Amino acid sequence: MKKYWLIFKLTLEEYFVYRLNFFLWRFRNIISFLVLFFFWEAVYQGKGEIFGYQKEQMLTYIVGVSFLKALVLGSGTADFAGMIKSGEIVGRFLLKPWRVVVVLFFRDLPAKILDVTFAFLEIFVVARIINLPIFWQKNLSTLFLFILVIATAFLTYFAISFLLSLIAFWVDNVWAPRWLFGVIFLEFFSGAFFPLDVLPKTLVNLINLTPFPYLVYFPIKIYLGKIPIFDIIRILFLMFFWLLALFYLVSFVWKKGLKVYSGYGG
Amino acid sequence: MKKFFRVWLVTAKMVILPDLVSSGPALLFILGKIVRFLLYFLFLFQVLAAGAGMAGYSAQEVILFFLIFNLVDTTIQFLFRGVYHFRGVVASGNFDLDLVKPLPSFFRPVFGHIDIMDFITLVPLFGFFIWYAGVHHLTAGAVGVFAFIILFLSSLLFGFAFHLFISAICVLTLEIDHLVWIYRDLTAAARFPTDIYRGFMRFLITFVVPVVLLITFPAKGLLGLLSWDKIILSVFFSIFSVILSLKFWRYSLKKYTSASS
Repeated sequence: MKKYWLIFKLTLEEYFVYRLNFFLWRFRNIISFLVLFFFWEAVYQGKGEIFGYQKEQMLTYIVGVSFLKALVLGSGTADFAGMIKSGEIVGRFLLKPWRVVVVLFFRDLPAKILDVTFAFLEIFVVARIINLPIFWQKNLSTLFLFILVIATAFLTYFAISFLLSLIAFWVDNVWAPRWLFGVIFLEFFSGAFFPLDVLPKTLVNLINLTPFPYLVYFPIKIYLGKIPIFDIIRILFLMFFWLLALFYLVSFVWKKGLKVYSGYGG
Repeated sequence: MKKFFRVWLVTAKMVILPDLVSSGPALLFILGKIVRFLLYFLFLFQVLAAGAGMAGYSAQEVILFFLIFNLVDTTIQFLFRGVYHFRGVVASGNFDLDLVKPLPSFFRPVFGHIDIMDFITLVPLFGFFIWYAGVHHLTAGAVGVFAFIILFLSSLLFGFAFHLFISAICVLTLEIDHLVWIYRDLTAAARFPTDIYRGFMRFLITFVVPVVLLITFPAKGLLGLLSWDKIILSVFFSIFSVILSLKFWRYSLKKYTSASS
């Protein structure tokens, strides 16, 4: 375990070396937040409720998106595909006495901690400046379930991202499938741009068959108290199902991938 | 000029060929671009159907802003894709090889790469834009169309100036990725009419990256909502930006140390 904590520490230090990159990355997140804020402000002009959301709830939704993008979406496992292609995984992972998934997980943790901390600070400052009305959930059981759901969502995204990188064992251009599934589908179907309630019911039912809405949309709806407790339990079971299925798939694909891997360049 | 265009065509052909050889990834990219466009369109359509308009614009006008954003953004991405590859060229020292060629020094960084997938999506997008603007009578007649063409070309000119400016920063600092993405994030703000933004955000899209000029002005020009003095001012601003960027580019070349070569 000590070696994994060392990886955690070294990764954290790495982030403080490239401070400009980190600053610019955070700046981009503020812009994305402000675009959504002003958009919904304009939409709600003179209207009380849209798609079942009061203005305060919708603005809390976009604050939630900012936090969950920092906490759930985004993972260093995206770089793993490049390491497979370059042969770097041989020296950095396969010949070392550690488990690849655990190393990648401990490399992700510092990024998440920094992102969430800064997201908190930024939203706090921006919320004060623009006088943002936020809905605060006070029900402790809902908050507990919300934390449980985002912990599961965090691991689910980790598995999805890692799985997309493992495609590199078989194909040369990994960026195309990652862009389609890990950026476009993820952004829209997870609810990271707008709540899925905006879309037609049939399309939402189809999206609900994928793991994406469990990453952002359902967690925020749970926080907002828009889902009854019985349905939250059902959602949690579905999330556990996706989590187990995805980790099983990761393990299966990893083993298969290693068998076909020739490690050129390694 | 004719010679540069010929070189550009040859360069474009060389860039396109690998994309066409591996058709699988190219299809995924095109599919992604279409899905993204359709989902944004559906989202806007649904929201506008629920609220009927935004910032004093009708639902159709808001969608026109969205279409023009896509048109300008995709054209700029198609033409000036080179900056996304330029960091690697400078870091490896390969930029030296471009400097000795009988071409403008900014040819490789700005025009050295095109995205054929953008071009493929641009054609139907342009057709849909004309159809949509025509069916909903969103043009202020021939004058509006003329103003739009002038402002669209002015936007491309500014797009060139901005990409050249970023390339110059790359020569000086090797930083480019985040700057390009900040530019993309700010231009994405113009998916919706920029009149909705206030305060700091308004300052950013007016003075830091003049997205208002880049995307909102062509849309307003087409709708006949822009006076001629603003149109002329916009064109002069774009020309002035190109002159400034060229000067900054020359300055950056003087500081170029040719590291790694």
